[in-house]
Amino acid sequence: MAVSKMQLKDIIKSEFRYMFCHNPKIIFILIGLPILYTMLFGLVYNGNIVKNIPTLIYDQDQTPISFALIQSFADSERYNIVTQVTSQEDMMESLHHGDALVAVVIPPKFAQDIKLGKSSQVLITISTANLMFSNAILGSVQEIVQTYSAGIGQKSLEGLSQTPSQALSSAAPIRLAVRVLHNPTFSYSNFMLPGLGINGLQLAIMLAICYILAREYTRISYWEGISVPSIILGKLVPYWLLSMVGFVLCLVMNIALFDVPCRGDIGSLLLIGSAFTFAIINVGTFFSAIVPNIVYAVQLPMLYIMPAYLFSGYSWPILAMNDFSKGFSALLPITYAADTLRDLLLAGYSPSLFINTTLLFIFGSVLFFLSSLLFCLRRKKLLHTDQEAIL
Amino acid sequence: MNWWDILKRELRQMFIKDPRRVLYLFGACAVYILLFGLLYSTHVLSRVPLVIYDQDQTRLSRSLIQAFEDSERYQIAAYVNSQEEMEEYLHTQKALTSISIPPDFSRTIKTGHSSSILAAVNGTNLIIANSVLSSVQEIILTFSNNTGGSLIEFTGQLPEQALHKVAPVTLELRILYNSTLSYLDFFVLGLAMAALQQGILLAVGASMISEYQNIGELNNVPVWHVISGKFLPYWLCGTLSFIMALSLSALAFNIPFKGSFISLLALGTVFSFTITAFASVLGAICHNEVSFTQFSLAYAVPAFIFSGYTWPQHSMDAISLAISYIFPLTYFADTIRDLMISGHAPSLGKNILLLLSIGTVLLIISTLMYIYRRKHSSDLKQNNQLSPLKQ
Repeated sequence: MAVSKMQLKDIIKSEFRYMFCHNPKIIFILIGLPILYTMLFGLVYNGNIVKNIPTLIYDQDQTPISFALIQSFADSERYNIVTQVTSQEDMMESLHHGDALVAVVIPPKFAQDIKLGKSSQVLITISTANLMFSNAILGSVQEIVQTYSAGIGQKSLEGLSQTPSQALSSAAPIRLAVRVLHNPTFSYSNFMLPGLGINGLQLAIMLAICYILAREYTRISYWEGISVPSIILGKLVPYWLLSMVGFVLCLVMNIALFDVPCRGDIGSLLLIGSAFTFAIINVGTFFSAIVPNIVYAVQLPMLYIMPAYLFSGYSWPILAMNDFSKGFSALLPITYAADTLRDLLLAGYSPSLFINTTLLFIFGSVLFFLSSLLFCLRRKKLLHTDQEAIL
Repeated sequence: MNWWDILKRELRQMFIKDPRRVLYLFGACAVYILLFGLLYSTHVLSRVPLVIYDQDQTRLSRSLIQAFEDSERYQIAAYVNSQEEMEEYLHTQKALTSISIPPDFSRTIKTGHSSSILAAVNGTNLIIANSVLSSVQEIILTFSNNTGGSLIEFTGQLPEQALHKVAPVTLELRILYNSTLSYLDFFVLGLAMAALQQGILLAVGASMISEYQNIGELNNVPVWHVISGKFLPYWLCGTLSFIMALSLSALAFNIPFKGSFISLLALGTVFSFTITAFASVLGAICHNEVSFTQFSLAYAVPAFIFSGYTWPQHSMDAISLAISYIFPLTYFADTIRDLMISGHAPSLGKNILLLLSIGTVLLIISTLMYIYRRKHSSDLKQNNQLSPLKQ
């Protein structure tokens, strides 16, 4: 039979033909979906940092000293003073309605207390359940108040006949210089886009690859006599190539359009990309080999894939996870890829590149073996029932 | 058959013939709450590995180190003796942050000059960077004020007075609602609501697609009986699943349940209504369940990211903001969190109305599509029946 002599090359060709001529949706999903995601997420994080947080001022002191403090908030791009209120009720009302998310309260006798050498308190109330705002406020408010306080302390110590620089040193003897490595501007798009890109890619692969084996069980005699590994390899290669195209396009878009830095070398990026896509394609193939029909092939893997991104340690770090989460996270290919990819892009290197690449290839190969085994068994069974039916 | 029979028929399909549907409806968000409740069970980030390079080795520098040892935010990974060693720890990510105390630290301060501490933090993961930034500021500030205070005491001031002199303005932070900045409280509800949406989509999708595949079956039943009989069970189950999800999150993971039950129920009911209607429209457009699943799963990620649940709408640019208005989740997830965590949501009424109108429009569209497809199919049938007669 001509079919039984089908070479690996022919299987690859016929799979490509199926994708391009019969089911172009696969191409759209594999390449188009990651691009669409990259576009969308690039846009959403375009602002990069949370700024202009609606701020409310309740100044019970109304002196030049309190105005100076308000000015420091007005000067910071993090805050946008939306209103000044004159009573506690108005303040609570504004916070309650969400007009302002943070309130700066300056107590009465603020200036007087400072002049008398008592210390005075600024009360900051953060009123939001969204941690994005809380973190942005916490990171900046201490600095603003401390700088202001040190300035005032300096003046009051000058009164104790210290020279201005001495006075500043006594008021703030220890200063903090923070160096934020790899992402000094705290850019949210640098932080999120590489991982979301790779997550989009994995979702796209899983949505597209459901057809790979599941549809073959309905026409199993077509594959009679061909070695199973070459069937699976031949069907898998086109998916792998196309998903690499998707990977590279996403990367280029992130770098060119959304200013994600690319400090690592291209070889390493392609290495982690190919290892990851290989692993995910084999996950998809495995699911496609065990399920009863295509609907299951597309729905079942989602249990595994949808929570993967958040369990990967990409945002919520593995060091903060409990044992269960660490265990689950260790079973997900994206755990070995997302963080490594971001390290390569932002820091230029990743200490775990080689170990992770190796693990992903091993993981993929084990699944490849299992899928072959399953396909082989099911083919045997199906052919057997076919023969019985004929008899 | 009237709507009641259709409803009973639908329930039978949902629970017995295709129990996947009931699994999706109730299982998706329950599984998400369990999974992510476990993932974020540590609530806040702690034990960030820290490397310390103390070039001073005096009593003062050791007491500063003590402050870091005492903070549960950090776990000391190593004490090193050279800059290279410190860089090495950061480079290999054995430490994610470093504190470097300069030589002459103690002497500089005692001679009345100020000295600076250099902190470095790996900025690739902003959750770690933010947490380190705010805690390191706090630790250094407290330490600096205490040290400054003891310095001024030498000029003959009382200890308390001295402290007031160096820190005339102190900051008091009050974080309403999520005062421990718990990630669990921040994140899990929204993820569960996104899963609820997926559950409803997949269940209704399965129902609509199978209905359209056997469209002739209900040809004699009035349209509004079909629509209401099919719509009600999913709408109700979606709402029920929503209530279960909230109860589970409060009981199993102690997520605050501050909002009034009525407000929550109203919002949940309307959301379930809108998503059921959305799924019926989608079910009328898609040719088969595979396409439906592919679309609805691809839809899930952008819907969540654009909902403003994590990255706030406030920080989106005009285009992203416009896109975010398309997704029903935008009017739901953030509001649910506000209600649960803070007990009130400023935009509750507006969002209920918006969801209700979107849902109604979608329901009308899906009804029209059903009428169209039913007519179309019976025309086809008639033609098929007529054509043999013509011959």
